[in-house]
Amino acid sequence: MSNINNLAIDEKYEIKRLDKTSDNTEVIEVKAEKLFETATYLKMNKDTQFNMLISLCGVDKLEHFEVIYHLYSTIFNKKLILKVILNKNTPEIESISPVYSAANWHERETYDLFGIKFSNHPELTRILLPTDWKGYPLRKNYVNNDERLSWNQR
Amino acid sequence: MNKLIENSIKKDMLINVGPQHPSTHGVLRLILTLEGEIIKDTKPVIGYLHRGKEKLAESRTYFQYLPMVDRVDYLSGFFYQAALCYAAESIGEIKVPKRAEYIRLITMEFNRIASHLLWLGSFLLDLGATSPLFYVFREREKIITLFEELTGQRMMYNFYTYGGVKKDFPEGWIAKAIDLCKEMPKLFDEYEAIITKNPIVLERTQKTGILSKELGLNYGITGPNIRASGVNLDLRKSNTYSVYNETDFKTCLAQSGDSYARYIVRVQEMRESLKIVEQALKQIPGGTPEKLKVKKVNCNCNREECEYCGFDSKLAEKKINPMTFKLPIGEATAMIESARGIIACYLVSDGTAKPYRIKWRTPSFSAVQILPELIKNSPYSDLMPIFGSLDVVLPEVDR
Amino acid sequence: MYDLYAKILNILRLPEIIAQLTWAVIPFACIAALMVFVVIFLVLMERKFLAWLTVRKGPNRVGPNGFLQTFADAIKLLFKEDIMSEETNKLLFTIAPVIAFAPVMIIYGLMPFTEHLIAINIAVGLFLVFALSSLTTVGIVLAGWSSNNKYSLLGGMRSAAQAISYEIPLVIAVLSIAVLAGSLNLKEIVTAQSGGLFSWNIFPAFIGFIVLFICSIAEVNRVPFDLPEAESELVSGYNTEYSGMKFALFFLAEYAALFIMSVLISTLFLGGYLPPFNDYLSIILLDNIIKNQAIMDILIHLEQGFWLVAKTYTLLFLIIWIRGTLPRLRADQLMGFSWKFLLPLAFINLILTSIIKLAIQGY
Repeated sequence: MSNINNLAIDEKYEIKRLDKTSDNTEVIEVKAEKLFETATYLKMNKDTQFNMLISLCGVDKLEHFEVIYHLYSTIFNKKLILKVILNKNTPEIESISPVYSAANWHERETYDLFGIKFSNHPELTRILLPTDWKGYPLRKNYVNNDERLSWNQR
Repeated sequence: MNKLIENSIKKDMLINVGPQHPSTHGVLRLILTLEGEIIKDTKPVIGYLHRGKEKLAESRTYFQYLPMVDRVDYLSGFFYQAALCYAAESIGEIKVPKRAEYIRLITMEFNRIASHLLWLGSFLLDLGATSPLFYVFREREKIITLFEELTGQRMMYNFYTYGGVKKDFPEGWIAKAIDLCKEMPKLFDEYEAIITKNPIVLERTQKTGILSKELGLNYGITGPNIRASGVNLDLRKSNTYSVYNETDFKTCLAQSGDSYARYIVRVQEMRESLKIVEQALKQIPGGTPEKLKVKKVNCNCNREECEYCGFDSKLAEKKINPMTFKLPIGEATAMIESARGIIACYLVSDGTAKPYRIKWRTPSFSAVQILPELIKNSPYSDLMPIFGSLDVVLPEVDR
Repeated sequence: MYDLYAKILNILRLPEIIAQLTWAVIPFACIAALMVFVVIFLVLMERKFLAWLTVRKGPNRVGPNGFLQTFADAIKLLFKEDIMSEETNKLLFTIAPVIAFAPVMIIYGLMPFTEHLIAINIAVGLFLVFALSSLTTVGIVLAGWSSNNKYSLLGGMRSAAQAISYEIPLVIAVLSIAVLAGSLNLKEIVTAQSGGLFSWNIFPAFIGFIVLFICSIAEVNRVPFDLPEAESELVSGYNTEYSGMKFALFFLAEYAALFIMSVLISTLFLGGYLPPFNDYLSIILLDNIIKNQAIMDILIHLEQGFWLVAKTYTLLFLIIWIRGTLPRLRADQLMGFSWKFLLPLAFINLILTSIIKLAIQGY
């Protein structure tokens, strides 16, 4: 059974351990610029082998954005959460779709709903909402003032 | 004139499949580039069924949100409610009585069979065979009738609650369910007689849409689709939730990863699910509701570990007031092995009565994403069978 | 018969010329009526059988047991708005259903339904039947192309490819019948099979029967060869853009062709209107009772019709059964099946029947 605690990656990738979630999943915080390397390391290292990206989502924490990566290892049956904190003014992070192909659409979805930009993404466009949608609905300060959607205008 | 010549030399044809098309299982749009009848490029366009389930959660209390999650996937509603309940229960540290867990397990496994049955029908409809659809509906109807008797609903059950389930089995339900479990394998034999060795089905499904292990893992494909490629990924076994560890079943695997392997895995899974249900119906703490009622009245010992009136035979830990229900600050991910793959519900709570953020990870989302890889360089006729074999439900993709 | 007709018109005080002009039209009018009647009940039969195969009830609201359902559907189709999109080629779009429908109707005229009920009895009947039946494909390709819809176009192209590859084994399988009967006249082919069950062509040319049966299913675009209208891929194939009466013509042509193909198979291989016994049942059973030759002729005539209908509907039932059982083939598998399997089989059948013919007749 692999244990992330035994690996000496703390200093190399500047990660910070956070409290476990209620369902006993380890959470580590990664700096935005080190994310790509950390993800590659976690996927390729034979002691970790997180070969699956279960999901990827953003959370609006009012003062900052969080991007949450759920990794899963089918070999060790282990979950891991990577957390990246982004500032609200220019939320931008490197895409990990070269490492996990699954990230492609999940990143598009996060871009669609949160407006977080993923650099080096092959096709960063809206996915769930129409292409001409205004604003990013899952941000806490989102107000729907698109005239086309108001009932009075129809 | 030049343009005319250019156009006549150009061999590619753009074809738009959907969102209104008889067999896209909902409203998926695919923009295909065909060369003759060979698919060269695919661009899926989704979002036609986006209902903003994640946004809606933020403005509703936990109990108001609970009935809505059934609608994420109308074919296997129990799984979504279970995922949300498990996430909330792990944040709130709410204990679930064993009898409630058994009821959840039985309904979830029955739901898995119903969902796989419908998949079987629509998959063969994609291949061009119409009759199996009617046969599977005949069997699905029996399961749905049981659900109706239990929950009062045929599709959107709204049956689970935080800390348990809402109702006990009605009287006589368990006997009916056991009868159904005995009857079903014969009916599965009937399908296998029509389908498994049918030369045309073999021709159409074998060696088409091959999903390799690495590709599947890389794209986050889960459930029967990845098990058909030989990856032993079954959360019911590995990250046990509910009471799956008290039942005996095996994970069905196939190695070839083609459409036929996915068919075989699903058919075997239905049989395994029946075994689980049969065991669970026998093992359920307290036994049948009639027996439980009698024993409860006579026993009255009030001990925690009593088989009949203790905690494990209750349906929920305590009655929760929906108006005042709050979860402490925290976050949790509940992962469930649904009929289509792994559902992950990531719940962030800020201590108020409303969820701060809910993220649904749905298996069909990944399955649609991998479609362009699977159908590249295959004939146009194979598009729908391959797409059908992935068991995609579009509302689940768009949420 | 003509004399009788002219006499009736004379009584009605109509000039002789009208009798001469209308006489030629009457068989065709009868055939058209027969065709519509046959199609309407074939559709009903198919729906009822399919329902029975798939544990349903089928149509059961219009008329007793849903007996009038197809009439209702036909009336609905007739009154439906005829929709044509802006971009279509109007002339070809309109003419395509007619091209698909007309040849089938002429084939009805060539078929010996009974000894006397045959509208056009020509020496090269068999040849003409296959020449006409391939014409239907032209209509389908035209419909696919002129609809200006990519699904329709794909359906039309598939239909053309399918028709070309299945026509060849079909014709070669039928060639063995021409060898056995020594004639291309359909009536003579039937007469050559007289003498009970064992003198039917199916016995020397059983492989040919199988090949012809498979090919004719492909020829009329039925499951498992229904690629031109594959619902799960091409929406509805070549007739996606059609509605109302034009669609009804395609529908009519398809089912009429299905029926006439079954009639053709029973004519060529199952002895046509001949009974499976040495002599007609009416002669065996009633010869001593009924002495009147005219009544006897009518009885034999009816019996001939009965045998043909019985054989045809057995085949139709088989085709419907296949529809309820099998999924659809893929286009390339369909071609491979025809060229790699059916065509060699058809040749083997031709050689075998020729040897049998030589062995029996010795020349």
